[in-house]
Amino acid sequence: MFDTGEMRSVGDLVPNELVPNGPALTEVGRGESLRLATEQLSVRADEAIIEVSPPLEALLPLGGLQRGSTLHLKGPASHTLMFSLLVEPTQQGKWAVVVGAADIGLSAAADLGVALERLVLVDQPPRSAWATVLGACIGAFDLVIIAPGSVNSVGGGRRLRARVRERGTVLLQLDGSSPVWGEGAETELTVTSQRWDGLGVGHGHLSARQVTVATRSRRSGARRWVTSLWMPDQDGVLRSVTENADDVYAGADVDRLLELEAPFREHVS
Amino acid sequence: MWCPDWPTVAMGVDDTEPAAVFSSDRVVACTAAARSHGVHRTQRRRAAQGCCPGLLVIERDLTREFRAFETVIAVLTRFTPRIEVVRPGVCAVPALGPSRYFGGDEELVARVHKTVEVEACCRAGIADGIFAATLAARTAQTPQVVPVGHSAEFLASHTIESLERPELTDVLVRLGLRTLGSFAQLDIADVIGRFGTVGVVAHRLANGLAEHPLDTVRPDPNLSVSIEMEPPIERVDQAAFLARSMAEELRTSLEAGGTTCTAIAVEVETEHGEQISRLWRNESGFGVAAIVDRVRWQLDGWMNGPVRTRPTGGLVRLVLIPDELVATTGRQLGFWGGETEADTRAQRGIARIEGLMSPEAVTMAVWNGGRHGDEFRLVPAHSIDFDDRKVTREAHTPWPGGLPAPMPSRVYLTTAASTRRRSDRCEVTLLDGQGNEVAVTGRGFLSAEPASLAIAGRPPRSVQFWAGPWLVEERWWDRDEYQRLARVQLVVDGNDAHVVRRQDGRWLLEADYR
Repeated sequence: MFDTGEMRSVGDLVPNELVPNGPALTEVGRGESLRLATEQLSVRADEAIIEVSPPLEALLPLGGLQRGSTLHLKGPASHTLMFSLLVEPTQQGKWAVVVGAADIGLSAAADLGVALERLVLVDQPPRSAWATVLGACIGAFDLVIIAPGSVNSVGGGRRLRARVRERGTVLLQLDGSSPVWGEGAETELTVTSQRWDGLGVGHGHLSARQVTVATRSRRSGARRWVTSLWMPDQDGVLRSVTENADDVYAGADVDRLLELEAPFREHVS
Repeated sequence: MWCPDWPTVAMGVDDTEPAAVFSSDRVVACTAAARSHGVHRTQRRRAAQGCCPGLLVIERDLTREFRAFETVIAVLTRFTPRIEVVRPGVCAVPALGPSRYFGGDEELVARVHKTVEVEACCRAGIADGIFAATLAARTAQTPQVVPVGHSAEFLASHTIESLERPELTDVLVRLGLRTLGSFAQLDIADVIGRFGTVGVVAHRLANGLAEHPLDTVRPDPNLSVSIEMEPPIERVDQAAFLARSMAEELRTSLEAGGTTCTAIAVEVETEHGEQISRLWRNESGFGVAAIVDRVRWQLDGWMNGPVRTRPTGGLVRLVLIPDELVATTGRQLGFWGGETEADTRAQRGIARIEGLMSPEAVTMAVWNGGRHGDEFRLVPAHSIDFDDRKVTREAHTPWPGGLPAPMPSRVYLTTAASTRRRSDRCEVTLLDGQGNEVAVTGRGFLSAEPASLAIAGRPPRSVQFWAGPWLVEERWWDRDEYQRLARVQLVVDGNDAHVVRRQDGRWLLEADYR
């Protein structure tokens, strides 16, 4: 029952790029980047990194959402990944706005732990007003999530990026082929594969999902690494896969994964 | 000066027609015809409709009420420039000066009544304070004058409920204090000891005094906030946006002095020199949102009012002048509670985006309960009170038949009404191994195992795992809301999970687990 057809797409990475346990930054590297980030920020330099839930730290180059940076979330579980990233910030009193996605599942967000009292939804603006509305959002909220739908680009991308840096906002785009602000995002999180548990053929119900997320960050020299997560696990909790010995799917270890998977596939067919 | 049933009058409903205006499911006003059927204020909607099946239900629209009330205020300005608007339908005028000019209280009140009657049905009364004067206006058909210094006597026979403070009067009634007179006779020290600040204010009112002791010191003129607009602005929402930052500024300076304002004057001027100034009163103190609302109402009543009084140019000046200050008491803890800088910024941002798009385009979640992904409902952000807000799932209200956790992260269909109304609902094709459409039998089984799913025009993908159908039949008592459907949860090729529903003989995409 565990088809991981897309899992093999991770295999096209050169094995030594795959680093177990997330970011390939050494402790020294991490410290340097942090200092650099702090120096660049003119606004709210006291808090250059917005913390995320511990299981997600491995996804992000600095272990958190860097203020003034841009992210692009892609792949089949992008919405759930977005909710997961919002959990810790909204609980800590940060405000988030989602522009252009009125159909997001608020129950799913609430169950993951997003504080809905600090989540604002804005309807899809008319095409001509995108840049203005986005500008207003960037000035007012700590996290701005955009779901551009059919809009491919907004005018004044350079100004928007400058405003994001100046205000120390984190700008995230959900799906879409490329960021609407006209330049690659600083961090790109792609859900490369997902696997559902709990649903059978004619029985059961979806209960847990394991995903593999590939990170590509400009900060770490366009290096890619992958992280495996339960999103959520059987108890509805976000958890990293490697934390527990029972989780045999260590996402980074592709060879071992394929080896383990073989008997399952025989079983299904 | 009191206009009876103003909310219904403003809605343009005839008094002979049974109608009621509701706010959060409670009656706030009803017509005489509805009243004769037994409809009364604070009644729940369902109870009101039970009393009077043909009742016309109207949702409250404060902006419209104020816009309509502006015509009445405009008439009153012929008597005196200083008019305090308490709420739509009620305004107060200091009578001392005008009554001397028009030759006595009786003469004044009769004139006011006659003049206003042309515009709307109204009642008027004169007494020592706003509370007594309002009661005087309400209790008599003809204009009533309570002589100076006799307000306490006039009030004594009225029921304690006239105070409109149910949490206090409930207790007083149980103590046997049924009239304002019996409450007024209590010793003030006892009232403080037993009922605190709320009790003191009520006691002062019952004695015919003003809610707060008169402060002979005018508020510091430096406290007023003004702004010049260059270029002139034409729209109400732009002005309201500016008013918010001004109100914030005002609040900050008032808070520094430990005061809150109970009356505020809003002055605006256009590029052609036209001016309008209104005094707004709110005995419990103005918060930022309340001030912005007053500015919006005042400008809306003026700029969208009758053509002959409408301004001819854009606005160039807006001034907020605190007119009466009282010390901040316990019930007035800051205006938005312990908020952080991020909260303030976000609330300002919300107002700005509302101005750029429309007030309905910015929404936030509130708990609703439901089994179709509508456990949380989106409501316009401007209608939300941000104070100490917490939005969580209420675990004590189970919704059997809902989807099991984890919940889908994109929900396309929610309530029955949305299924029918939404034009962008997404039809899907669910086929079995032979290429026939899968159906749900009358006994609640699938006609065949689903084998492929095609979502609106995209190529079909093979179904790997599925479960269902899960049947939901609900609201059989309501023809519009009734729905019967069967849900199937699917994982298709590529491990994408969906929920599809069979309803009215079609398969629709209900939700995705993205």
